[in-house]
Amino acid sequence: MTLFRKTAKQLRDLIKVRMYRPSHLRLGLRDFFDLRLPTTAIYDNSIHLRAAMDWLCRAQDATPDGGVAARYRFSLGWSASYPETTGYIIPTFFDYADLSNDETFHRRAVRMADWLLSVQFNSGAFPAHDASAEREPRVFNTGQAMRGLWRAFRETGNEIYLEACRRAGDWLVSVQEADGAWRKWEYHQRAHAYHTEVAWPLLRLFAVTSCARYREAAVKNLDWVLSCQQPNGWFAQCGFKDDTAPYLHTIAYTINGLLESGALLQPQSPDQNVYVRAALLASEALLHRYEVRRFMPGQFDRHWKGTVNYSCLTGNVQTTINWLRLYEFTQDARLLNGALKLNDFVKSTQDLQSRHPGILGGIKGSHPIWGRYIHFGYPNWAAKYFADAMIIEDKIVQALYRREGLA
Amino acid sequence: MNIVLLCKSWNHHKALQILTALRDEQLIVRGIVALAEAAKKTTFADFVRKAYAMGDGNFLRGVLSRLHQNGMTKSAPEMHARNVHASTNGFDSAFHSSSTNDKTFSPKREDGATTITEYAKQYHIEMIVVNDLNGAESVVALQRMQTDVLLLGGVPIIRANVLSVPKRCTLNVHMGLLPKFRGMNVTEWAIFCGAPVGVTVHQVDPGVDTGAILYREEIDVSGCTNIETMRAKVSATQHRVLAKCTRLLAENRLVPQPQKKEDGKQYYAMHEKLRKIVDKKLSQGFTCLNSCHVLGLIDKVVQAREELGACALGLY
Repeated sequence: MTLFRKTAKQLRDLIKVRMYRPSHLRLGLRDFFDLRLPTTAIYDNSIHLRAAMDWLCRAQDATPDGGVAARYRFSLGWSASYPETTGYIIPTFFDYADLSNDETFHRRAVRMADWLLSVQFNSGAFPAHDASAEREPRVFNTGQAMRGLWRAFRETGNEIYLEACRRAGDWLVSVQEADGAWRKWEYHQRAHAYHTEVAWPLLRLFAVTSCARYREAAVKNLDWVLSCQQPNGWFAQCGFKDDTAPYLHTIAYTINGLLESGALLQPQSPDQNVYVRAALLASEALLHRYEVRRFMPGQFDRHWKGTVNYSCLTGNVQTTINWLRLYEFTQDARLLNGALKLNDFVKSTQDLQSRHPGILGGIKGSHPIWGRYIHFGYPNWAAKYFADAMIIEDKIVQALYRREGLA
Repeated sequence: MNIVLLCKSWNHHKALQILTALRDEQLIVRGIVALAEAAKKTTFADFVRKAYAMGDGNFLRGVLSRLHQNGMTKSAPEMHARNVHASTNGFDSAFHSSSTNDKTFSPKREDGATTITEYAKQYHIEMIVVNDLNGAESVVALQRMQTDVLLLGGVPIIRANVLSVPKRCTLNVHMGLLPKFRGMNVTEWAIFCGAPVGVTVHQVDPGVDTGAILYREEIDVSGCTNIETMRAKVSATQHRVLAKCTRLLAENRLVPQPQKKEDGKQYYAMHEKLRKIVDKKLSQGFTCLNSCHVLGLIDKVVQAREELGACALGLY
């Protein structure tokens, strides 16, 4: 009877995510049998990158406001625009416009920035959730919107973006707590180590405005995050809800924020840079885990032991970006090597043949698709970080090939 | 001194080369403890399928290269390796027939022995086949053979329970110069980093290539034009060095030099894009750096050996 109930529930779940649709079924079957059909072959990075960028364009076109739809879901289709991730997708579009010499991407990025301006609260904060949800200010989301606004200002020279960024920064400084953490206006009202990704935009704002309070707030938060780091590189307070088994996604956020902040604050060698050193410690632990197991789990415990058997693809590409950036700092080729392999794995999961606009070129939340992270969905941030990883990987490998006379 | 070889019963190539080198050094092998073929978790064909599925170019390149050498593939391994990601359909066409899929490959030898079993029979060496090299069966076999020195011939990670059995030590030969290059593909990594290529004989401890160093030998790879030829040259040297080292150890002419963890890094399988760089460097005639600058420990080892008067081998 239990088996019958379990099977019935599984069937209900499959119907709920509309697994009967041919494109969904095809993908589900492929993940179930873990097949690598020619449709998911690995090609040159430029092909995978273009497919991901086209998917992001479709995600933008799926909403009427210029923002980028948060995700494509098997159950409900495209969702509404998401301010947080639209914020950090903007730099990717500007980068790709430069890379491809395609002005369209530049224009799209500006549209996104304009939409962000329209959803900013009077306080300067940006809302949590996507545009369809109830509007409430959120610290992390505000930091990510700032990443886009700062870049829009740099690309267009339009002061309106800088002003919005400054207001956002002021709000962040005003709601920061004495120990450097942000708790109020945060997910589950708790402090998160991944707020390093908020400190980093504040440092960028400081670089433009020379206003010391942005720098002070950022450093205070970074130092609080350092106090959360364990000797094995692990960060406490790294999860969305609790610390038991955070997603690789939030671990990678934490590392990235430290790394990029460190690069802005103390651009010396990693040995002298406490933030980069902290990022390196955690990244090396992940690299070892990945290389030994040849698989990157989607969630980890505090001993860096994988707790699940699915892979969080967003976290994977965020991690490869961290490894690639750390390679630039340290010239430790093991980090580059790990990034190349993990990027290949994510490339192999990108469907380049599907006829479905929500699937073609997108990056799943989890592999297999029913993994816990963005269950049966394609988040826009996975495609964004994947595109970034492709761009950075190509830049580094081409430079290496040129140096060795291979280009 | 009772010398025992630990190997896989199906990995004939490496084990046979070690046995031959030991014989050349006039060392008598007390016994062989081999992992049963039945203990293979997957068939050979499964490994290749998995390599295709995972898009593991390095692994596949190695496998196909060896298959090609043994006349089992239709076309050049390089071609298959390049197409590794392109199609799983390539798998079946990579083989002459499905019947070859599960064959193990071993070199043609002058003495005619092509398997460990045949070799053991021919030279009257006791051979015990076990289902788990780290299991009680293996420990009992090694104890019964009164093992003094245990040699590893291409085996998975050996646990402390087995490592504690030999009265003197367990030896392994590593295809890189320790302590700097630990782990996998270290010959390629040495070239990539512009460091000397070589082999190291070391005592085995529970870490990865972290045991005390007994002996190192640099190898001139300037004549090698690609990774395959370089690896073949290093591979040919490593068995000889392991055998010589075993003899020196038996004669009490080697002093173990402990490693420090921070003296080296653990490397992992190298990605295809980085292998291209290594191939390019080799094709341009890679030459080693002065090893004394790269590996300070060499001086100590040479010194230790000179004190023992063991430089007659002409190494270093």
